[in-house]
Amino acid sequence: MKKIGASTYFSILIGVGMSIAVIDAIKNMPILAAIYPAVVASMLIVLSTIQVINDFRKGQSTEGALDIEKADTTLKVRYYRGSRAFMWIMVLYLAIFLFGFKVGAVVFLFAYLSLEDKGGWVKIGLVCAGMFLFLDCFRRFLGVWWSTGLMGNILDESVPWLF
Amino acid sequence: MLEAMWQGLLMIFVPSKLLLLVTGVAIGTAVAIFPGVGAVVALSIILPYLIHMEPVAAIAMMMGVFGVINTADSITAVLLGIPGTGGGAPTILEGHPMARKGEAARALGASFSASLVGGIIGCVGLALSIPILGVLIKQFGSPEFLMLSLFGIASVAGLGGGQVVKSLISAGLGLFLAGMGGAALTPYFRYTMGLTYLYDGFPLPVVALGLFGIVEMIELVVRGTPIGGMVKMDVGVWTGFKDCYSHIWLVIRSSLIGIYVGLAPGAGSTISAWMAYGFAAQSAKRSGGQFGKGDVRGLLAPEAANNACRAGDLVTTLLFGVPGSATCALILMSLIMFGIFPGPSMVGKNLPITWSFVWSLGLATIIGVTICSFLAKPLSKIAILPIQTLAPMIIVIIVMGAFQATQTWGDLIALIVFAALGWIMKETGFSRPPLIVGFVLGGLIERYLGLSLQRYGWAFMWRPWVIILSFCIIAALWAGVRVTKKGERVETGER
Repeated sequence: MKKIGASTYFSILIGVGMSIAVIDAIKNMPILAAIYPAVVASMLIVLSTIQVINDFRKGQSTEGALDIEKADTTLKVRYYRGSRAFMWIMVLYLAIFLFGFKVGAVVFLFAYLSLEDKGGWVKIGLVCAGMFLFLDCFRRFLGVWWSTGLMGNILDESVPWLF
Repeated sequence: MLEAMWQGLLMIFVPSKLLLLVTGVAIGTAVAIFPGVGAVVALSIILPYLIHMEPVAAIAMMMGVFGVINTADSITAVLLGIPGTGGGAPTILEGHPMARKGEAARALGASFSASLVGGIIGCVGLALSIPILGVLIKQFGSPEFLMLSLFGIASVAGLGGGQVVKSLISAGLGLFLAGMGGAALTPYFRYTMGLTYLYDGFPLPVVALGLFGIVEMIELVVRGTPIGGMVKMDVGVWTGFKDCYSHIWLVIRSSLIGIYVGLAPGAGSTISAWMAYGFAAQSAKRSGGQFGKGDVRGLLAPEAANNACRAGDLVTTLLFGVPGSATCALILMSLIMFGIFPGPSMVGKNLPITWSFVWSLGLATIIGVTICSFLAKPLSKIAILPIQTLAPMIIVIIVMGAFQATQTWGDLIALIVFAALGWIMKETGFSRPPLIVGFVLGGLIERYLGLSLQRYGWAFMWRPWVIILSFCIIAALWAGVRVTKKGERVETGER
């Protein structure tokens, strides 16, 4: 029997979320504000129900079933790598929060390239320096603004060029 | 009309605008080299900066990206056998075998010249459609534009690939997300959950960057470095240009196919390229040929079509407000952010702006082909750079771009939320372009619905064009269901 996959759970989640949205729209919003979200959310409830029913019907069939064992292994690898990538984005956010955008980006790239890419120090140095200069040019010529982070708030006046 | 055409040209032919156009071309070329990363990612990255520019400057840069993507993606298709975008897939069938036979330069020359002709013919088609469709658009009111917006969503969901129900769910999610924040018809804030950040709704750059930018970079990291040796590029690009001249009628016919397919929202450059390829293969059967083994005609046809298709996309986006793809949805939303609404104004007071699109697209095509012709060899080396080095750098640029939306940490939190949503959608088979189209059109739909009800009551449903467009919506969805069912039958081995 074919497994019911993540797609079905996602559809169920949408259905549940939209049910809450419809109830909120009807109970709390004035009529003019409630029409649009109520209609859209109701449509989504219907569509997600249809999708869940389709998924269950296909799940009952054994014809043309995928090689689940093989698919699961590949999926696990994808999910692992994808989760790892998201974790690295969180590291970037933490670096930005602590050091600001410019220094934070450099810290992130240094950490990532050292641990994931395992490149040589020359390569890491060139990439970090290049990114620092690139961000600096962005700031100077496009007037882009970003936060200076916790460390920037302390050191911004002593070394303004760093942040 | 002529005065507006001239004004549009003068708006673009200013050194600063031309520089931005060339910058857009350069960005589009660089992005097209990466397999799977298309115009929507490139536009998402530059979108946060566009909204701080004046409208014509932003148009120049957007068209620079938009006009060159389908030209530059043939570099990796021919040399590496990897399509840069969906529209480059047929190019691999003939271009890569030609490259393996030692005719890489000829293949690229043919591809670029066909792209040039297709792009120019597309621009001419776009220019001719303005006065012709302008007459029609002036008859349309809020009810017709409401139905056109719904038709756009139905087309992208039905014809854009993927299962229809899942695509409609994506589109519905986009419509719902567009409704968060301030309501269009009444001073009320919906689903803000007490957060000040959500009072204006989600910023489009953050949504686009999260759904496409971050997700595509993660996809590249998950897949790893593209494998495969690069075929060496010899000399002989001009031989390819001569091939285009020898088969000029094929190129022109394919361009017309591209424009025609581009007019159908949701069809896109992939379908136009395959249709043109199929047409060329059928014609070649009669005259003999080596399709599938390196026939230059199989390269000329799809390249001309997928470039001309861009102009067709723009016709429906600018004149009807119906974006046929995620890329056009971003272009449409940029215009709305500048206070330029699609529809009658694009053939009225904003006619010079419409013409600036035409001129920009034409210039971008010419500049893009020139850059690609001279720089194909060094550009192709970008594709074999290690992704583990490039992806984090691009993610830093994406995060910086997202922060420019409201310059608060809310942007970064929203970015990661949409990135997670986009990743889940990608893994579970839910198409993302309908979401962005729904997000862009959601505000317009609510506005048109409110205006229609205020002016006509429910009687607006009986207007002739509303009825015609209702049938078009049903036809688009039915076509999508048929394609889905056919795909399911093939999967289960049924005949």
